[in-house]
Amino acid sequence: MRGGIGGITGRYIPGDTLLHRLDERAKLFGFLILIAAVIMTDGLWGYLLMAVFLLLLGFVSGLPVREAYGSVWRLMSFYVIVFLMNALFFTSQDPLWHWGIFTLSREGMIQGANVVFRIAIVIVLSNMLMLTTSAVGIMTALEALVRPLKYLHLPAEEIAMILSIALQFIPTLLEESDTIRKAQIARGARFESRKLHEKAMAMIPMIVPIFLAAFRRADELSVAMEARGYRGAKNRTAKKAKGMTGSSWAALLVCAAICAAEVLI
Amino acid sequence: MNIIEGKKISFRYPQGRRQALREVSLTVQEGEFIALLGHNGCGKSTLARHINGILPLQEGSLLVAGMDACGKVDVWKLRRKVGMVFQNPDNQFVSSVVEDDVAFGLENYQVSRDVIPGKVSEALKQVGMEGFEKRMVHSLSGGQKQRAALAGVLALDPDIFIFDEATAMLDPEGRAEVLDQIEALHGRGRTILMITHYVEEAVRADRVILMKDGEAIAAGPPREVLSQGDLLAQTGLLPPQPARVWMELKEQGLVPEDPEDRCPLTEEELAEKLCRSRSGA
Repeated sequence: MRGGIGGITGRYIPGDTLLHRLDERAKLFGFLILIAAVIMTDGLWGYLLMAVFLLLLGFVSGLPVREAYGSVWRLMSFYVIVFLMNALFFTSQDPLWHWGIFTLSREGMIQGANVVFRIAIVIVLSNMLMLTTSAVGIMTALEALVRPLKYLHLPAEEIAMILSIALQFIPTLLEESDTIRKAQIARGARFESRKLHEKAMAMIPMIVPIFLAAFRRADELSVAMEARGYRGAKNRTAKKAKGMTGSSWAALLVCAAICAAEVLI
Repeated sequence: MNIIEGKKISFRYPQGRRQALREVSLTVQEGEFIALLGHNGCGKSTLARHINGILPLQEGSLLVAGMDACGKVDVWKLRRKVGMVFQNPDNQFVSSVVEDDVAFGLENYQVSRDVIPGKVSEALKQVGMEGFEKRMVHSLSGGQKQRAALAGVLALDPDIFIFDEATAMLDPEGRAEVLDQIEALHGRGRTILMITHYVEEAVRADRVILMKDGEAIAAGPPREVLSQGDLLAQTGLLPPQPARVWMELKEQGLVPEDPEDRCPLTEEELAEKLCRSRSGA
């Protein structure tokens, strides 16, 4: 799906770029370090550093610009809502404007902008991770990430398998919701309405079919997995990670350096 | 030698109002191509899922590839002997890359990591998908997706292949691709159980088992079962198009009486019979 919100968690695009070749575990751990960096990001220089880094990342990934960054623009209405929620409900000693429960302030607008920028950065980062890492790669990395859970007697392999399949199914479900949406439009639903409550009401008839479709898919997939001899993730041939090469370690160091820089700026 | 031997199999789903299967008996010989024919909800898939061990046997007996499915059978071993391709190509892929998905079954059976790539390539070659190893599953056509799913089953080298309405969601081109693969498998001596509600597909089988409301109401060679309009009508099905044309022509007296009276089931057979009757006239 290329329209709508389908590009938020993009599908893997095979390639042989530096980002594709990195060890999956390094990519996932690097992603988590960068999430921490995004939380620390503040002020013009902090965002400028992150923007330069994202541009370089896009260049290294070899992904088309539209695939790498396009998902950011598809959530524009969401950003507006998030910004307004922060800008109009921030409790400030020095309001610029006040009306009923709404208070517009400089601090509120800065906080709103911060939240929006951070969400947009996380979306680009997660998109790049998903677009350059196969489902098996993601699963291998998740297995490594949740491995310590074994010591708590939790089913680490199963958790990794569930997360991996869930991630893989997101684009499929988004496609399905788009189909349902079009079917509802054909029957008179008004998603294009500018009024928020009308938009929200129009979403309600979509929720039930989307849930039903998700459950049906999950049921069919579990039967197909069983039919192919699946009996729990731990009784399988172990996955082989690509291996932590020099470039994988270097990528982790870069992520750590970005995080440190964001703390210091 | 019988590879599947089921006697008086009955089954009811936990919340089911009626019996999904009622004393169904079937025997399938090694290398045989069986079409399980019937309308939706008649119990075809339920029966197939017993053979693969997905559903436990409630009543009756079932012997599959020498394994007693009604005892404490190791379903994991049973599933290695019986491979299944399902209806919806999109809901049976565990991985987004073709080679990773084909390897899924092999990984479940703890096949050595070093052996897996060779087996994956061989399976993809058998279904005519060499070079598709790195392709994304979602970029494949419906027919290709089903062939990739078949490759995942082939990689495990089972004795029996079950196709559970594997062509139902495909366009004509995709259907032809899958049916060609099924015939090629049969040609290589594999045992096939094809579940379908398309009479035109059942024509290709060695034997047809016709099901209605959880019961097997008829079984025999396609020519015997599929040319009986009244019998098929009980299940809401019609004879294949060529058979219907031939029956209509006979009723109108436009073709001479044939002492053999072999009802044509395919377009080729119909054309041949019409040519023969015309030259006879």
